[in-house]
Amino acid sequence: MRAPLALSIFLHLAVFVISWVGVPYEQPPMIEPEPILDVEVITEEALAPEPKPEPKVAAIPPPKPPPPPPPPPEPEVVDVPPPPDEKAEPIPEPKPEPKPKPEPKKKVEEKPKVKSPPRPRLKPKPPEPDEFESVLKSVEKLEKKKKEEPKKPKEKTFEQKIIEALKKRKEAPQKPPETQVSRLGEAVTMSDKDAIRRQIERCWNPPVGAPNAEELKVDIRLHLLPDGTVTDAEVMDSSRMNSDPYLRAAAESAMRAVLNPRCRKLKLPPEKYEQLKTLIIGFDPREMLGR
Amino acid sequence: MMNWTKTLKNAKRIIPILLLCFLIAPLAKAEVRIDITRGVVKPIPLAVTDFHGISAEESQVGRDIAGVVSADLERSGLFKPVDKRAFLQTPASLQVQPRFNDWRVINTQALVNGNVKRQEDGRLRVEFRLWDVVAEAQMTGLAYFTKTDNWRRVSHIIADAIYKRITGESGIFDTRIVYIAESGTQTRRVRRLAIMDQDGANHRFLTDGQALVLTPRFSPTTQEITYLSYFDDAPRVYLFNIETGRQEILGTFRGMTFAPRFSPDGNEVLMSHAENGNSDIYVMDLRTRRAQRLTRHPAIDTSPSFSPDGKQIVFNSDRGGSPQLYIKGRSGTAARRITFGKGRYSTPVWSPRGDLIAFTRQHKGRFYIGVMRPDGSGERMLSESFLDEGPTWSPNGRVLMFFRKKRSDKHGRGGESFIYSVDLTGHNLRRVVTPGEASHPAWSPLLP
Repeated sequence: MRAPLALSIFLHLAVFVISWVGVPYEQPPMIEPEPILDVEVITEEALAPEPKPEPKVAAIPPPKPPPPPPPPPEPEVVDVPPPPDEKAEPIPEPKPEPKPKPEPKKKVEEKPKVKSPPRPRLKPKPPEPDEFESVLKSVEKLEKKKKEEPKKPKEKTFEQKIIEALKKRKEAPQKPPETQVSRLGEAVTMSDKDAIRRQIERCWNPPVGAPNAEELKVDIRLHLLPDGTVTDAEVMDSSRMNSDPYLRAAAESAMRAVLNPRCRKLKLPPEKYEQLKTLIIGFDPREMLGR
Repeated sequence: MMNWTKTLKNAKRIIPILLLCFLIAPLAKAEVRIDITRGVVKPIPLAVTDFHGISAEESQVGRDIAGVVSADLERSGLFKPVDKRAFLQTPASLQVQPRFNDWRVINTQALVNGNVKRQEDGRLRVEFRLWDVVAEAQMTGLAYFTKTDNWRRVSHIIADAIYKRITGESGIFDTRIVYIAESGTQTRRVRRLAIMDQDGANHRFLTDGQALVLTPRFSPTTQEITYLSYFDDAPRVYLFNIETGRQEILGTFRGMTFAPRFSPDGNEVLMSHAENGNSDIYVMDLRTRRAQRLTRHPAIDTSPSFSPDGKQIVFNSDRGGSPQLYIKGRSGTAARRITFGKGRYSTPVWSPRGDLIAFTRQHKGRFYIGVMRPDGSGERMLSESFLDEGPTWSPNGRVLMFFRKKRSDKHGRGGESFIYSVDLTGHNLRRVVTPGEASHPAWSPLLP
């Protein structure tokens, strides 16, 4: 009995081993499914976390619907910033500034357009009445004043300057340029522009890397106080901004540059304030990074 | 006569206007214009406050969300989160109104605050607002509902919303990376397909490492991956569904298939097929499983990538004597060479934005990741090392990932490989956090 039993066990084992070893040889065409099974085992484990994506997917739709409910946020926002609070807050920064009407920032918050006109004596008048006559009058006045103004300095300084200049020439050769500058007071020179350009450049963080950077040119009009403080800035042609998020980002980067507390006070040649009190700054990111 | 009188009358009207124009001209001249063409490229200082919560759990989630949002934005290189310890205003008082001056004082240009509230149905309501501190205005504000354990995902979505509002670009944070996780020695390397969130969280392996896998590519539209596997020592292109775990061979080609890449609509896969020593480019329709041959040339044509409109492919060919990049229309037009710089060019990838093609360049024993316009102009190198290879674009076409391998010594030691990301401006090169060594990254589209 034992021998046949052993034989039987041996034969069974043999058949089992042959089938175990033999089948793989037949499998090559079948091998492809195997990795799939392996992978599935792994991913089944992973599928436990994986459900997350699915619920996530389910959860995401809520997020997107909510965006419509941004109305909820926005109304709240409207409620939240009661302008009085903002204005009520004391703004310490202006205090150090002596000459300009002490609080330029409040002016910005309050309607700046109303207040900025008083500063420039000449311009406000044309905008208010749109009629031809008033424009013509103001233009005439402008021209008169322009003519008068240059005269005044000249009258005052002409004789003195000759004397002074003669004296100074004797004293030191370096000073004559000053007199020249004051004579040229009317014209804004390239070096004046360069000086202002350098001051704004260091605060401009341009929208680099955007596609079609050549189309992201933004013009900003600045209104300045005599001490060079930017009281107000507006994007010219702001209508395009709403349709193009890249352009909006570019315009906002330009606004951040001119309203940045570090760069908000521009150094100007004081005698040229009249010409520089409104500036148009063109921000052009095209040349950045060779794009 | 009638005409004369009319014109005279018109002239009477026009003359004052003309005069006015002459008078106004000097006025217009008075407005000085200055053009700024240079700036300082630096991150925007931004404050992300802890999201406010009333209960301890809500507060904790609020802190966690703020941490992830802040880390996402910081990693982009475009933002510099301000140190929390410098904040003057508390999250609770921010719920009423930001005191902008408190934020300007610490040189912040943008401010993010929010709150977390558990709803009656157990879900969380997460709300955030982005404020322009300089202009003192809200830039955006959104609210989301989600399960509590999904707070990471919500954080990425919020970071994307902030990124998009400030830069104008669509987001990159609610995405995943599939890559090849490498382990073992240089001679006995184990390579497994792995997937993780863009910030390294939720990491998991997709294959067990028994077969060599390479070059995974994400479908731009579905949760599918195509990659090369050496299963059974036969290199073939496979398709893998992340959600179901299902895997299959693409096509019944004789010989080897490799270098797969999805079409922009996700319905087709480009690949190379090599047979009898010649390799050409094919495109397979995933619905009909029919393959169409796109190149027919005795040279080696490989690494194809579609333009975003699907009308052209850029590929690598040595038909000119050395590997260079060529562009050809999908429908049979002649191939046009676009690379003429020094060295060998490979693995071109068309930006999803369409404006650039990224590539690997090899010259004098150094490797570079570079970009150029599709017409071959504006070539720039973004990275350089002993071995930089395999660029992949972020879904918004703004950032590139690639892998960098160090030189190994003569005993085969060293030679570690890791994934790096770089902004297409060439700024912000940084290593992407992975649990171990990594190569062949592929960036997913924004999650659905």
